[in-house]
Amino acid sequence: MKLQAFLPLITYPDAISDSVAGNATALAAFLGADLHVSAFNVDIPNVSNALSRMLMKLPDLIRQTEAQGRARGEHLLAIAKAEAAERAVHVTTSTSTAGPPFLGEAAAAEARYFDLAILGWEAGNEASRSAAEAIAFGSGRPTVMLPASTAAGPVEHVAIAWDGSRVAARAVADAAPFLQRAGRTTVFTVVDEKPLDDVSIADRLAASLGKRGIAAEAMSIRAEDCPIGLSLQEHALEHGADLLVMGAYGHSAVRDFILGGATEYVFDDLKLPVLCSH
Amino acid sequence: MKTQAFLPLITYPEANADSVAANATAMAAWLGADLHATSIDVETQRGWDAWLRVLYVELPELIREAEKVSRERGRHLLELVREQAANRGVNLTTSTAAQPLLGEIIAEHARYFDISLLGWEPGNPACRSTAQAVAFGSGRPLVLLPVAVETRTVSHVAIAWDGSRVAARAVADAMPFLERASRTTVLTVIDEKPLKDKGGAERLVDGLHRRGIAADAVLVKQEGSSIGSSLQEHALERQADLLVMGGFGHSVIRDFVVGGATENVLDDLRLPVQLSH
Repeated sequence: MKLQAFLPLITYPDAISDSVAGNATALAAFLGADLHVSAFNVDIPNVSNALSRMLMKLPDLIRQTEAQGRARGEHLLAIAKAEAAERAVHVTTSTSTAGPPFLGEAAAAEARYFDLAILGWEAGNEASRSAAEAIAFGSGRPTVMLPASTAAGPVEHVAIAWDGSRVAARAVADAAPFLQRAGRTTVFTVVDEKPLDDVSIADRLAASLGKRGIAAEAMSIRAEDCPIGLSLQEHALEHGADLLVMGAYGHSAVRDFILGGATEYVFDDLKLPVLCSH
Repeated sequence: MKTQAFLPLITYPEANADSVAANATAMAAWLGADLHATSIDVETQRGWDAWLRVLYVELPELIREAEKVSRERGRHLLELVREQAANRGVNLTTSTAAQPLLGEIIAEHARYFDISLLGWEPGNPACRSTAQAVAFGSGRPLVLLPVAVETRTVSHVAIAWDGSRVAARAVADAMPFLERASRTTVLTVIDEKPLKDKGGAERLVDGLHRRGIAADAVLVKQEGSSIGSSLQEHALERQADLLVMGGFGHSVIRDFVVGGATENVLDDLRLPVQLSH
């Protein structure tokens, strides 16, 4: 089955770096997937009231911001097409517009037609963070976040953050295309953080993956003093993982992260590609 | 990848009908899946009934009797499943879970599998609570197998599509069926959603084609008071073998949880349905 991957490009309020196009197409090539790249341009509503009429420059500023966003989007689409051609990835593109608070939702709604969404991730980039949140929680599909600062390569070793939860079960299922292609899979369980009912849940998942034809080993790690998200990333990197798979916790109504949940910290500082499902 | 299917067997207060053995093993065989069947034997909680013993002198005896009946029914069902699995060449493992009938524990077990199967009898309260727990709590799809419907092959899959997050999940969860089906129909109920969603069905069909799955989009009108029932009628009319759905507007699943006075397709299920949430 030919996988269908989705790369949304949101350029407001911050532009994402060019590397996202190369990283995303590299990942699509690794999966043998078709890639659809969509630019979501901002459409800022014109305020029309007495105050704004006094601020003569406002309509101009709005137009300027929108134009910059569009230009940025076009630039990234062009790079994506070029990178895809180089890697023999079948790529299609589209453009749509939405008001500032709705960009993430628009991307999430479109992502539902694909097998996975790929997102560039940059520290301090508000656009990429809120897009990741919106899509991870609103698309029903897995979101793979690629740090802008690292070149994405083949996913040889997958690390699974397992806590026996529903969202983690969903993430493992969503990660199947990666698990099937990986040479190595490690199931991590963190001890000393959340009380877990059964200390051998990592073994249990590893056994279950084994029955599915995926060789996996189980590993327990200690939380130490780091916030749990960072522990997971650190251990994953230490063990040479190329991708971290985890369930995303969130208070979906307001899309706040549950304090103490691993997801918040991962979303703050991404050190390796992460696949999140909710 | 070998699909791992989970079959919890209800034994108390009413046991699953015998047909669950044939239906579940047929479904597993169709998917080329390994099957793990667990009989959920009742184990009544001994702690709270101290004061009840004062009121009902016969209680310990009743409890023992209930547990005995439950265990026997569990053994019976497992035996039938073993027989049917052997006939169909399905790789089977079994277990018993003697525990209070807490859905959360069953949902937790289900997370280690790709898919859960459940014999479906709407009048059976243990069935309803198990289905609810697994559908909402496992993170994996649940296929309800109505007792009176003989499961054979799943050649035609109907997908209920409304462009929602849960529907997207349902489609992803249904891929093992879609890959094996000779026909897939995407059903979208109109009249309920605004116009812009009508293009969604075509979009989904296009995406399925790109994945190598032949599919058609059909827009259907809602008939009767329940969207779920309309979907079932249209699926049956087209001779679908399985209906795939996530939550759906005035959600079938939500009605199912709430119990609702509204007509609910799960009260009169006439073909297997796969639920995702």
